[in-house]
Amino acid sequence: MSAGFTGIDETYYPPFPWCLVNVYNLPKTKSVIVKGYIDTGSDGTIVTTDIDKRLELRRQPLTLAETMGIGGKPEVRALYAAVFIIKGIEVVTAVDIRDDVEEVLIGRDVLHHLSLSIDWKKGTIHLKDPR
Amino acid sequence: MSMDRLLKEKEAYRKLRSKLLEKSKGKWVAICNGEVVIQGDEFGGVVRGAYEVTGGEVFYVTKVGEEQRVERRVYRNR
Repeated sequence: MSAGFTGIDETYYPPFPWCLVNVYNLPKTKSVIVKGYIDTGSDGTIVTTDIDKRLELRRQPLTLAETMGIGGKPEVRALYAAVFIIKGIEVVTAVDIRDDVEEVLIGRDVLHHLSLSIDWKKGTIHLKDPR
Repeated sequence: MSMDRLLKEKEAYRKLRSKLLEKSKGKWVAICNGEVVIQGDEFGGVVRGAYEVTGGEVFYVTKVGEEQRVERRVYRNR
């Protein structure tokens, strides 16, 4: 992925890698390009309520999931259909829409479809189709 | 409204589950109007297929026999 499409956000400590991602609703009639933080520690992907407003993701719930942060209380929440495109790789997933986050967190539900290499020392991220 | 529908489809899946375990264990399935509308090995393919077959209705998706594993999300950065 070329420069400008990925980066490492040093306002976080430790620094947080990110990439630009195209997010669509399931019929792919609406889309946004957003910075998605690469969160290999999360099972699932989280989007903000602002993205939901723009894409109307709540029209297409897919499942109910028990969600929790480490040490947190489990909460059953609906997950909604979304399509993520990263470096031309298209992944359909079920996202959690949350009003308590300000950024998109890309979890392993999306990341496991990609080949991902992060070099924190050089500040580079390589994403590609593993096929 | 769509949440009520999702709950209804999930309840329908609960009733279908024992039969599905015999024939479709390990498959992703989509339930709409109380019936399996599509099943397959890939989550994304099943979701897209269900959307096409139902014309965008609400459907419930899970993996037969692995519901607890796939219906769980731990967020480590939250």
